[in-house]
Amino acid sequence: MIELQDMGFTYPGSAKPLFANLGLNVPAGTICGLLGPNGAGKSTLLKMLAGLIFPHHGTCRVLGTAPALREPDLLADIFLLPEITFVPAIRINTYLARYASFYPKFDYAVFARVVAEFELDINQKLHLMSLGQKKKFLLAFGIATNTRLLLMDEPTNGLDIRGKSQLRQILVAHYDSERSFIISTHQVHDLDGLIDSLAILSDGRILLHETMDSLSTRFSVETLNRVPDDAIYYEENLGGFAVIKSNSTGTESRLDLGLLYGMVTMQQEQGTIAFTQETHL
Amino acid sequence: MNNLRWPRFQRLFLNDLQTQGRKILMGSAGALVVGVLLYLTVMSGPNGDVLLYRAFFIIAMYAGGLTLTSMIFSDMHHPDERYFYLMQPVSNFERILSRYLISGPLFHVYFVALYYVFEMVARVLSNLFFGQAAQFFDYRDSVIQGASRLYLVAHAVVLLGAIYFRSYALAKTILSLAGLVLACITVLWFSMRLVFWDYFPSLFAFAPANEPATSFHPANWPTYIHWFIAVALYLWVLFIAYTTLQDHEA
Repeated sequence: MIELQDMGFTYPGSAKPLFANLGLNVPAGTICGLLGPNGAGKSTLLKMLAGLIFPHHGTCRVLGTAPALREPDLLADIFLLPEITFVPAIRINTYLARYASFYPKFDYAVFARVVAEFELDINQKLHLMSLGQKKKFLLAFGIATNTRLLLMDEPTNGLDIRGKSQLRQILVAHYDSERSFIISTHQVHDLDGLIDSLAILSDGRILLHETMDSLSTRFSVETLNRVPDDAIYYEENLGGFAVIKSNSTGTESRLDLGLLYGMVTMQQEQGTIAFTQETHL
Repeated sequence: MNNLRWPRFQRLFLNDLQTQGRKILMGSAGALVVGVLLYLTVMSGPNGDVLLYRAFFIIAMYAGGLTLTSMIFSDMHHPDERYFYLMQPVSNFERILSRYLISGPLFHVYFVALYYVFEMVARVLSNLFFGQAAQFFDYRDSVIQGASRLYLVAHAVVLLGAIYFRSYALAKTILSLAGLVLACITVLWFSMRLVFWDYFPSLFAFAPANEPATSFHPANWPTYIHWFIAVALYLWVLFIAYTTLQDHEA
């Protein structure tokens, strides 16, 4: 679905490359969470996958084609929900009439169902909506396009608690083995229980990309009163210490994404990162 | 051909037309009111025989059409709208063709129809108030025909400017064009001055020996060469506009 190899990119005027030799492979039928600190290049990566920014070197292929070619057939199979949402000053049904036909697999029934689930008024003018409503509308449209790749940049920004819950249910309900969702966010807990693989991007490279199944058999998370000697990483919380340890039992453990992210970034800072690109995928 | 697929182009064209249509209609209504007022002002004096349409038609067509053209790619340059523009699954060729048609040939056809409406309204009011009206608009008038052809050329240049410049496209295009023309004249003059040193009796005056001055006038060129160069330049400007649009997507 997505193949990146030795991909490099530097913003004009910047001395330091954003991506030096970035590599990532995402198979079809994946909900991948993309995490990383501010300025790591998460949004840039999504724009690159959508053919909005072109890599300076290396390979970037999406659905077998280079997005930089901006082939209309490829663009009709990718939907990007950007962080800053722009919608034209028209009603939902007008938007549908104007833009849905660009997507050959657009499902009007799915759109109507998701819009109803998000409690949006089909006659409402888009530019008069709140940020959360605009996001909900674009998510409904993106889901209904049935594109094989749905890229979401901070999709939960502006969504209320109920909206976040609805989003998770809708994404799970409309994902299949032919379709992949890439979700970039700072809100790691919004991804808990939703994603089946995790990619952490920092300093222009992928620090970790692994399935949640694999991670949960390698690591376990426990809340303890004290930090054990074999702790790989811990954070103090109200109940004691949330600790990541090696999973010696071999049974899957429920992971805390925030804790996992903290562990990876700490290991990166210490230079003891235990992961390589494309581990276990 | 993936670059031009009819159903997709049709949808894009209709979308562009609907997006620009509102601006065009509002601009037309404003121009109609201002035009009628100006017409009546001129007709309030003894000006019944003037060819008012020559000035009105040409000024309004150039001002309206070139302003519309200069703004037709503003969404591509807008930081937020840009993603919406770029993510539409259409080809570059379809994008430029759609907007070229709307702001160029189709705008011209629309404007001619609008001008006939304006003339009829203005004449009725002028006859009512002042008992006279200017000569009726004649599209076959050679001045109007020439101005209409030149509009398409100017339109192609401004379309290129609209793609190339992020803001104030019309002003920047005019300034760039003026600069380019000035630079060409300067280079040409210097070249002539150096190569034909003996033919310059003073610093600027050019007096070629045994050649009547009129033979250098473009009006004396063979018509077909004149037309060929004009059409080739026109197509070249459109091609440059197309490649510039591709570059701007990067």
